[in-house]
Formats: sequence, C-alpha cells, structure tokens
Amino acid sequence: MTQEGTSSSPIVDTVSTIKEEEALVLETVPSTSSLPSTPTSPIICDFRNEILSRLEDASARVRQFEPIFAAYSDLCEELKNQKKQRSGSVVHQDGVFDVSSAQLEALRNELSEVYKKKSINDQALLDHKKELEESRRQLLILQTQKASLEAEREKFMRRIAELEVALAKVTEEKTTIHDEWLALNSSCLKLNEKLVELDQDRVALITRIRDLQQQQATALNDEVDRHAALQRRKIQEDIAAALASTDLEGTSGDSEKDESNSKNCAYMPIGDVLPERQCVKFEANDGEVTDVIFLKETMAATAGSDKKIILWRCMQGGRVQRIAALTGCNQTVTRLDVNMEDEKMILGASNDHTVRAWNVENQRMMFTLSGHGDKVTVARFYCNQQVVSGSYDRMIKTWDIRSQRCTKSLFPGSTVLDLIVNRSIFISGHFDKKLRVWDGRTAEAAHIVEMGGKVTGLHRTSDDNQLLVLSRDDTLSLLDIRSLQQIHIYSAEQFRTAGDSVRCVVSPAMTYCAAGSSDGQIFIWNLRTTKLEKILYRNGHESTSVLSLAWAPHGRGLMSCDRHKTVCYWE
Amino acid sequence: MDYEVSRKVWDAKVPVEITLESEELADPVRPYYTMLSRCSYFTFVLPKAVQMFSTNCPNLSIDLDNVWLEYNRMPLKTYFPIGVLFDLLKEDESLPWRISLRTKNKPEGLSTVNRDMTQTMFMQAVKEADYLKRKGDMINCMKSDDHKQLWSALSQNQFDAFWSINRKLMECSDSRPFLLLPIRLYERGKSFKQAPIQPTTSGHPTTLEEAIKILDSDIDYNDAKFICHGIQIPLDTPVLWMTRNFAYPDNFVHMCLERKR
Repeated sequence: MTQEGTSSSPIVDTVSTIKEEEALVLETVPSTSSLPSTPTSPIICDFRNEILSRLEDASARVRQFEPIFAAYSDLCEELKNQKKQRSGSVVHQDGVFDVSSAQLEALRNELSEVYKKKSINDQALLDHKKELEESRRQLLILQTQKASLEAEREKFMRRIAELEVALAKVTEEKTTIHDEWLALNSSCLKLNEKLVELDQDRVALITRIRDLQQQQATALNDEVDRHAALQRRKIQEDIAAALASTDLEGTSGDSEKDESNSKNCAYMPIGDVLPERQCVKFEANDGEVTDVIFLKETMAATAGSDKKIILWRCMQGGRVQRIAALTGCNQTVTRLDVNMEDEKMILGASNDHTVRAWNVENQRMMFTLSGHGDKVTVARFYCNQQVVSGSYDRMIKTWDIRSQRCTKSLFPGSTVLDLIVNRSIFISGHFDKKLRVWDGRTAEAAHIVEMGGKVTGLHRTSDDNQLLVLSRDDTLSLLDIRSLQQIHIYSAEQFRTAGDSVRCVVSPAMTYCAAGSSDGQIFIWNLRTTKLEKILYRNGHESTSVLSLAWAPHGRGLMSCDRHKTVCYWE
Repeated sequence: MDYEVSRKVWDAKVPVEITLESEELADPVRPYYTMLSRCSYFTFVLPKAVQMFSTNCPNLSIDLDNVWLEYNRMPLKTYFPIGVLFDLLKEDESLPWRISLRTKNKPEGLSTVNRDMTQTMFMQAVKEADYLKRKGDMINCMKSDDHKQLWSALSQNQFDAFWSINRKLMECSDSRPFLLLPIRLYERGKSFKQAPIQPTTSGHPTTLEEAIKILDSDIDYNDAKFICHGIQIPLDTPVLWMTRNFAYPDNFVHMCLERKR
C-alpha cells in the first residue's frame, strides 16, 4: 500500500513534464493489476506472486509511453519521406514552389558556376577539335610510313628466309667438316704414335746394325789376317821345297825354265779358240755355285750359296789353286763384278739385301751397301766411284762408294734379274720380259724393249756395241745397243734355261757366244752365223744345271759352274 | 522454465529520450524518443539515433566512433545491459529517462564499444556463467551456429528463437545440478561484486538474503533495497530459481543495491 502511494505521484509529475515539452494532449491510461492465482505452496507462492505483481506494476508504469513514442516514430518517418519528396519536387518545378532566399542565392551561385564551366568546356572542345585534326593528319602520315615499313619488313623477311637456308647449309657443311676434322685428328694422333714408335725402332735398329757391322768387320779382318799368315807359311814352305828341288836338279831345272819361256810366247792372244774338252774339274763352293768371273788371265772368282766368294789361281797345265775365301755375306752371293784398274775391288750382290765389296789383294771387306728391301740380284761398278744394284724389291739404286750412301732410287716396277753397265748408261733385264735402258740422270727409263720371256742374263760385247740377252723362252738374242734392234737369235733343240739367274757369255774376240743348259750341257754358237758350233758335256757337269759361264780374257778357255759345287774349265 | 516470468522479463521496456548536445549547433535539435528493451544494449539504438539527427541537421556530421552517452554528468558504460544501467543510475521516478548524446570531449578511460565488441562481451559472459554452473560443459557442446543464434535472436528481439537455445543452458536436474550460481551485485559508484554461491546451504535452497551475506557482509537490510529488472526482490526468494527464470540473456543475475536515504 505504501509502495502504491509512492508510485502514483511520480506518474503525475511525468505527465506534466511531457505536456510542457511536447505540447501534446495526453490521456492517462489507468493501470490494472492482475489478481494472483491460487497458491499451491506457501513459500513458492509468496515470492513468485510478489515478483509477478511487481513486474506487472512496473510494466503498467511504462506502458503509458508506448503509443506516444510509436506515434512519434511514425511522424519522424513521415517527415523524412516528405523531405525526400520536396527535394524531388524542387528539382522539377522550380518556379512553382516558394524557396527561401538562402536557397535562391545558392542556386544563383550554382548557375554562375555552371556558366563558367560551360565556357571552359567550349574552349576545351575547340582545342580538342584542333588536336583531333592534327592527330588525323599524323595518323595518315603514320599509315603511309607503316605501308612502306611493311614493304621493307617483307623484304627483310625474305632475306631472313634466304639467310636461314644458307645458314642451314653452312651449318650442315660445318658439321660435316667438323666430323672429318675429328676423324683426321684421330688418324693423325694414331699415325703420330706409330711414327714415334717406328722412329724409336729405326734408331734402335740402326744402332744394332752399326754394332753388328763393326763386329763383323773386326771378325772378318781377324780371319783375313789369319788366312794371310797361313798363306805366308805355305809360301815359305813352297819356297823351301823349291830351293831343295833346285839344288837337287840343277840341270833339269834350267831346261824346264826354257820350256816355260817358249810356252809363254805361245799364250799371247791370237783369237778365240773353240773349247774342245774338259781340262780341270773341281769342287768350288758348298752347295750351288751361282756365278763365276775372271779377274785377270790367271785369276778367277766363284760365288756360291755357302755365302762365300772364293778366289782361284789358274796355272799352266790346267791346275787350279785356291787362294782365299771372302766372307761377310749372310745369304747366297748371287752376282760378282770386278774393277781391277784402280783399286782392285770385287763386288758381291747377296740375298741378304746388301751389296759388299772386298779388296782382292788383302782380302779385306771395304764397305757394305744397305737399303734394298729384298734380295739383291745384281750389282755393277758404274762410272767412277759408283755402284748400281738391282733387286727383287723392283728397285734400282745407285750408290756413292766414298760416302757409301744411296744417291738415287729408280722404280722400274718389276723385279730386276740382271743388269749391265755401258759407259754412262746401264741396261736392266726384268721379270716382266722387258729390257729397260737408263741414262742415269732421269728417273724414267729412256727405252723399253719387249723380249719373248723373262730376261735372266745380259752380257755386253767387248766393243761395247752389242748386247747378248738370255731369256726364259730358251733363246739368246743379240741386240745393237744404240738402235736396240735385234741382230741375231740363237737357239737349239735341247737348250733349256735352268732358272731365273742363268748367265750367258760372249768370247773376247766376239767369235762365239755360249750358254749353259738345265741338263748340264754347254752350248756354243757362232756369233755371226748363229750356227751351233759345239756342245760340251763329256766329263763335265753330268746332268746338273749350268748356272754361269766365264770366258777367259785370252780367249782360249771357258769356265762353267753348276748347282752342285762343281766348276769346270774347258779348253 | 517459468514461461510467464521469463516472458515478462523479456518484454520489459524503458522509455528513453536521447538529446544531442553540441556546441556547434545554432538551433536546438529535436530529441530522439524510443522504447528500449531492458535486456538489450545501447549499441543497437545508437545508429538509429545518429541517423535521425543527421537527417534533421544536414550540416552536422557525426562520427559514430566518437559518440558517447551521458546521464546526470556521468558517462554510461554501454557494454552493460540497458536495464542494469537504468536500475543503477536512475534515482527518481520521473520518466522518460533523459540521456545526452555527446560527440566531443570524451572522458579518458572510457572505451567505445561498437556492435561487434558488444557481441564478444555478451558471449564471454554467457561462457563465464556456464563455467560457474557446469564447468563449461554445455556451452562447449554447442555448435558455433547456436552461439550466433543466441546473439541474433537477442539483437532482433525474438523470444522463442533465443530460448530454444538458452533452454539447454538452464536445464538443471539431480543428475546434473548447478555447481555455482552466476550472480553479480552492483552499487552506484563501485565495481560489481561476485562470489561463489552454491545452490543449497545446509540442506535447503540458498535464499537471496544468504547470498547477499556472502557478497557483502556489512549490509544493513533495513536500509537497503535489492532491485532486479526494475522491481524489488523479496529476500526469501531462492537464488537457484532466480538464476533459471530471472537472469538477463547473458545468464547472469544482475542485482542492484539501492540504499535508503
């Protein structure tokens, strides 16, 4: 009750306050309170009912404001809408509504601003039109430039295409050349390595060759000295024996001397004498006797497969005496040549790829010529102080005797089987059935003559005008050296060449020519009439092939050798 | 849930007059009148008031971030519910409640609370209350959508939507009792007081009188009135019942102590 009384007076104050402020007519809303329901529990009923009643009273005091405030909100909303509408109307109907002086002033200012902006915009429009014209003109210029530049670009594009094609080609060539370069580089490296190795081998071999040659020369000299000593003792013994016989046979010795003098007069060369019979038969070398040659009237030399050259003395009455053996070759000695005018040297070609020379008087080896790659078939003294040699390596080499070096190599292209020298020219016989004439200055043969078979033996006549050629078609031909024309041909029914290294011979007076056959016979023809004059066989080589012949310088003797140690002397 | 009491509490309103005070104004501006729900917050109504003032005065520009409210020369803590502020600060019985809206000279230390911050503080209070009641079990079982629905229902004044979620937070049975009761005691010019208060004392339900003894032991009951939701609460009211039916939407019972003169 007290609370109710207290709450009534503030309500009245509030109402009067609102009236003064708002000037609005208010109606007092009477408050009503709900009656409490029937209580179920004394405690719960008491506080809950009291709370509910108090909440209701508070709500009643506040509720009188709600319609007033709701109306106020509605009026505010309506006022807002009205203001929006008025704002729109002012824009559209300017002269209809009455506006305040402030708004009018604002509008006037706005209008003047608009006029200013218009003039500025007009000026800008004119400026922009000018700019537009200028831009159009520049556009035309640029379009023209564009057209020309496009044409130029087209040209450059074509150029680029061409250059690209060229570049592709060049690149391809570069690749190819690079590959070739790589291949050549590899080859070059390999060849360089091989060259280094071969050079080292060459140096080592040259050193070994020099050492071996020194050893060989020393051994040969020792042997020669020993041989000379033996010979001197033998001579002394002979002299002692001769002295003894002379003392015993004083008178008969004198008579023999007179006979000897008369015989010497009888041996003077009158002309060639046809040999009739065998005077002497002896074993010369072991194995084959490949060549025989007269050093002078009373001295001959034989070469054989026993690697030796043996010197023989031919004495009156058909006696032959061995003088010495020249050693140094490592293989068969194939050909002999002599130079008795100046230094008395004998030259031997060998199958050990070398040519060697000895001094005939002291039996010392003087030099060795190395350089051929295969067997040396022939070697000859040539001009002065030179040697010319032919070989199975199909080359002909000329050598200087003093420096013992090869001065020239000629390449005929075929194996050389025999060779002769005639003053400043030399003629070679070849496996390919050809004769080649060389002048010694040019690298090519001056003349080539085709023969009927392989050319195995050559012999020059003593007048240096004719050449006798033995070929394996079992014939001998006589050629004129200057014209190279064939003069005569010599053959016989039983005549057969015994090999590729068989020799032939012409007598010193150019009366006869002779050659050995494979059955051991020796055929002798008349050089001018080509008539077969004689066949020497009895007590001779007895079916052993005859390899070489040599006619004695005085014309009265013929020496032959065969494949089995035997040398025969015929008179 | 006591529907009748809860509904009356939800629907209780306060008539408010908001006046704009500014030195720049030549002419006085008409005030803004509105009915505010006790359970809501001032941050819901400020944008509307500022908009109305701007409409009436085109030359005036108000920055919402600089706006603060003042009553009787004291700034209002706008993060408290409106009902709590009204009960605490209003001394006389005159209505409406006149509040000044200021745009300058904000007092130092006063935090401007916008809508998002208000929402965050609201959810913080709800979680704190649930921790006191059930160690946070119920609030943690909820989805984030349920949390959002609490706030949106409160901001849009939808009673049914709010209580469809809040019912779970207010369930109490013998198998799942409330451990402690969320209650705060406010006195003008002082900070609020909060203490652990159990639902039962010596075997019987804890009454408001017993709770206040725990909160403030030197109160003379003859000279004091305890006001919640604008009414004086009987001292024999069980605090558990108040927690379930008389709490604000943040699940706290905000009690104001008013001493007699």
